[in-house]
Amino acid sequence: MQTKSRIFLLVAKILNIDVNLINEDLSPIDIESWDSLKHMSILMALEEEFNLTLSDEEMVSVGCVGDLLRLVDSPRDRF
Amino acid sequence: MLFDLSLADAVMEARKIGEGKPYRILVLRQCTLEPMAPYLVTGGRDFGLEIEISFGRFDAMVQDVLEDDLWQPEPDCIMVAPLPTRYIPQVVEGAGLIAFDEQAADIETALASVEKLITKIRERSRKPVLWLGFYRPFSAPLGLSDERRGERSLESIIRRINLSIDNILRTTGPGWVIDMEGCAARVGWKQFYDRQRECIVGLPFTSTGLREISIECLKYIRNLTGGLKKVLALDCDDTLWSGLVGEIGPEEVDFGLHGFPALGHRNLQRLARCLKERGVLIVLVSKNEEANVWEVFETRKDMILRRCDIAASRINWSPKAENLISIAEELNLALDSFVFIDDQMAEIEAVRRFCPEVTCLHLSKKNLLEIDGIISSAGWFESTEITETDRTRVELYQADIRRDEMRARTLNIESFLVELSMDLEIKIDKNVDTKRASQLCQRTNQFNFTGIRYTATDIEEFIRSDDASVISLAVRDKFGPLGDVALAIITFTQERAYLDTLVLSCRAFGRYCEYVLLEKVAEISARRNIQWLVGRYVPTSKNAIIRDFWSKNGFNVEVSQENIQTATISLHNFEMFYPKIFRSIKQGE
Repeated sequence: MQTKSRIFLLVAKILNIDVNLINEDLSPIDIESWDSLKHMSILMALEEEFNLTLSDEEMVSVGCVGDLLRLVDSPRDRF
Repeated sequence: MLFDLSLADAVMEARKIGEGKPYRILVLRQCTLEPMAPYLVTGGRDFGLEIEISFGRFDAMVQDVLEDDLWQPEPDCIMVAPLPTRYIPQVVEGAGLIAFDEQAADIETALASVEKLITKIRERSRKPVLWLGFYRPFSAPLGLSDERRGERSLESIIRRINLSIDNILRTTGPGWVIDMEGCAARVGWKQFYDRQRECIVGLPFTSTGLREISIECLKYIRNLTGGLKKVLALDCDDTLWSGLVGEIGPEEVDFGLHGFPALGHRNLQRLARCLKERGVLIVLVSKNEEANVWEVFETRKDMILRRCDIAASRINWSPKAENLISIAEELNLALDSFVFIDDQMAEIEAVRRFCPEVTCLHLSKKNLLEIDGIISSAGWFESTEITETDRTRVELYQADIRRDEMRARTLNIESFLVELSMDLEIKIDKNVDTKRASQLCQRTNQFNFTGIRYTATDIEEFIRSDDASVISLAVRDKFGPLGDVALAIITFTQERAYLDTLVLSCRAFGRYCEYVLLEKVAEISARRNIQWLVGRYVPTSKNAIIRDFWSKNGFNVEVSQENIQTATISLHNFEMFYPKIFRSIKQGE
């Protein structure tokens, strides 16, 4: 599966919405159920799915689904 | 299995709507733990438990004990999640900065505050407490030299604090300290702890860490709710040893100390042997010539598992599902208490299809070396206490099989029972072995009228109370002791004696022990000038066998809308009708 569809699926699972509703611009403002706890769960699930560790700057920088894509694609040290 | 479930999948699973009465966990915490909820809920479903979790406020554990709303309805279990850096900062941060003597005072203070919190919780509820234990910080403040400090090292100080907490919990009611360092060690510190997230959102663990903590907590919860398995059914070829005994002979099958996969099979044997010592029944289900298999057991001196460890076996060419059903009948245990391990996927699939109640585990080259970890994580066999009955359980069941053979030879059941020469021993209140009594509550599913699972501490409380009595019954016959097999807990009011709990181990079915126990209950109640004896029947998925017990025995039964029976009988004309088959009945001193 493409990175993009893996991320879309993961966000859809945690927010409990149809994966077709997800696009790169989607942000917590658009989805009522996307609260701070869900936000954290998304970040944790992302780390788990792609086996990476996000720095605090990176975590704070996430404002929409597109930002998640950029995080996964950005070069980094892996464990 | 929770073992390899990702957070996103656990969230999905947890969202499904469950059935049945929920098991409520109240979490008092000093950190963010909400993302642990999906793991607990999903893991609980593995053994049919619908877990519901409510969280106290962030870092308000003491206040939350007093917060009435949080305790309505009463939780079934209380989880306490303190953070070492917040709860015992002097100890964690002080290490290496202040003298050891001063630190001793800090430890005292910390423990006093732990004790106060636990006392407050116990005043609020007598339900089990799971305390997430303290753990070392990522690096020791004194670096390598910390190791040299022996009992002054931070590692050993933290271990001692955890032991003291365990002690406080144990002496005040049911409760355990969750081994957080063990959880961290299993997944690795770097994968467990997240200091950065602790700073930002107050969540000190990674998703991997949260899953591991959930797995550990669920072992206790499974224990408390009676979800334990009792039987491990093993295939032989390529499971207990590497190679096919029918082809290469008993000398050539391999389970040696060296090399793969032999060592893996050896580990599995060791695991089975340990489980047997813990009271799990080991049975063999193998497609083989029976003589070949036993030849391995008898001629290979290096076998870890011995023939006497095997409670029952079906070594033939019949389908394994059929064999498992027949073993379940022989041992008088339900199929859902079985775990079946086989290296052949086809066998696993067939058992899954025809005995869906059996939990199956496919042994592959990939997981062979991990098998002990998998079985431990699944929590199938994780008892919190090991009793004398556990250690001798296999002998008990082997004697059962000899009894069955005798029954087949004897013409009618009563003369068979007389021939057994049964001696009963009735134990009342302080003579009752509370650990075994609690085990009877936890493990008995079929002959269990109310399905209430009491811990040893609960039972001690009944014993101490003036308005309650606990009676247990031990049986011995010519084939050996069966141990404590029946338990009754009665609570008294002025006019009525209520049978809060009445359980009979499946080993003692059909021996009329329950009647002796009821007679004793009646006798004790009558001595208090009580007029009525009241029993109940709360239907569960497994106790249909005793649905008509009350009505058949002259009780006046009323059935509620939820199908709960309340059965009443006057103690004036109380008499139990059963054949007089016991050699002796005495009361223990």
